[in-house]
Amino acid sequence: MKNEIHIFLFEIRRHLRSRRTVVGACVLVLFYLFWISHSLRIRTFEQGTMTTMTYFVARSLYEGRVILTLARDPLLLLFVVCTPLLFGATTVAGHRDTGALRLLQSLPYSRWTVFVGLVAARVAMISAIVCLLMMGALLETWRQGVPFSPVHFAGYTAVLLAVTTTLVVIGAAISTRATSRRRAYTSSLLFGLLILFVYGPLQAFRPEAILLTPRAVYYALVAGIDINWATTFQEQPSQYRLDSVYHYTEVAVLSLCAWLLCAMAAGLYSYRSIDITTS
Amino acid sequence: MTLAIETERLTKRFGSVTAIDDLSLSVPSGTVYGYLGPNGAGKSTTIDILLDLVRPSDGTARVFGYDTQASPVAAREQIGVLLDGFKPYPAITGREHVELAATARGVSTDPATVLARVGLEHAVDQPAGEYSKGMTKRLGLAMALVGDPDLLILDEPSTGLDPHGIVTMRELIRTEVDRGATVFFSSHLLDQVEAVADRVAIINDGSLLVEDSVESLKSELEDGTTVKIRIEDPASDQLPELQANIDPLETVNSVRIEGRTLIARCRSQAATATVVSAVEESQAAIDTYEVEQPSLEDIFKTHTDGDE
Repeated sequence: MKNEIHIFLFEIRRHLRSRRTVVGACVLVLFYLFWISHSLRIRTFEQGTMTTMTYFVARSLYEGRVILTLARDPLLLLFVVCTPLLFGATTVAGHRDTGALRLLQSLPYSRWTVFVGLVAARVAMISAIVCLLMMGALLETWRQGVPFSPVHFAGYTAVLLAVTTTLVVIGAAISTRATSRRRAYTSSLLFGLLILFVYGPLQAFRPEAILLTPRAVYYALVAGIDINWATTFQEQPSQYRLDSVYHYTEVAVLSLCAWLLCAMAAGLYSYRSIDITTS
Repeated sequence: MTLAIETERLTKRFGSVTAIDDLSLSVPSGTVYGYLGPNGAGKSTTIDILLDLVRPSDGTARVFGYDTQASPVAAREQIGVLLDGFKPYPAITGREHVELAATARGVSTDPATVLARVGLEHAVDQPAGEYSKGMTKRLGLAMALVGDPDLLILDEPSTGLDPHGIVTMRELIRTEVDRGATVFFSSHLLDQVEAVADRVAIINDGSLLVEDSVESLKSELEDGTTVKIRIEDPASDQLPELQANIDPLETVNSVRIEGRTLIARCRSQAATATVVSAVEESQAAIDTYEVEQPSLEDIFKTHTDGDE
């Protein structure tokens, strides 16, 4: 574990000194903060209604408004899915492209250690970005005078951290098979789009399997923050409203864990078997 | 005899390309071992396999008895390596690179001292991205030296170095061998290899062509030694007559005349004495006498058909 921490700390230091990483993170945070501010300003829901949430039944809609606005925002959904995937995509491919992976792996570190250390550093970086973003959102909410629940905010931050962590690991697993940075980005982006768009058809034709998709898992976890939010994400009127699939928070957690573990195992297996040559 | 490196029937295929083909190599510990071959011969691939950066398609490789596939970390703990095309982290300083290597090896070291050994004392806290090509090479060498490894692997160490850097490199190699380390290095600069190597291996197309001490290889080289004898005021028919007398000698491969000089290519250094005797017996007056030993380049060209 000591070696993994060494690599983790070294990577964090490298990221913090990398102009590209710092500028990229700042641009991302500022852009989404601007977007969040914009979203909160234009949406003025009356108590008991929410434009696209016909079947939403909540006792405290006003308090849930901020989080649900964020959770249902398509652009933020793109951030939640694609940013961590792309961030994870350079874990191995980026290092391989620069030749730094050969340097690191020529030292007496096992492949397991290097992979875990690199992935952990990426997870820490994306987590820092998420926390910054949520702190910014909190400040903006407070500045605009929109009532909010700290519990909802904390819950949503935890959901974002869990989902982005899993997606970073998936991106890293994809990265091990990519022979160049560009291919890693392309593959991860395609996977991200697949995650986003497979959700619709699956909800229409096989709703019972929907919690296998990360997008539905994300919705279910958000719904798990407040028991009244379960039907918020239901596309069609639920026959059994209280039996909405988004009620199954435990299943969503299990599904997310399965994605995380499978991605980690696949990434490790793949990384152990690849040739670390310069691309 | 302890072997620092041992490969058995090592083969590596990249798709349809065979980079290493059935390579069996034994590197005794405590020696300076030159690993030669034309571009694409498989030198770097062999080094990559020793470091477990590349997995062999077949065969085994061991470093001080540690199988590089089964115990890659234990094998790498014995190795300090300077990779060909070594690329440091641009935003990280030389000191931090050395600290990274020290942490990985579990040793405590003063980065400034290590960097001073390779002539980087003035750039200890400078980001590696600001280093020149030669300085980058020296940084890689400094990382390789951390923790006094038992085996130093240097892949094209002289590339990008100025003459002063090459001298420093050569001195470091000698210092490391005196300490008891084994140095395994590949290079295209054959005179550099010749200056420091005890043994050499030449590979081509992934196969081992020859492996021996430099002296043995030179002595085994046909056409190895050339003797040049300049005759003082030769008579008009004296030189052709000498050529006719020397040409049939068994130890002489060829003989020719250039002006007043008779040039004979002999099979060994000892054979040059036969030529000199033949000239003296013919009553010719020797003006100057010069023996040229074969160079490593001659050996290399002979074995690779000079197709680098």
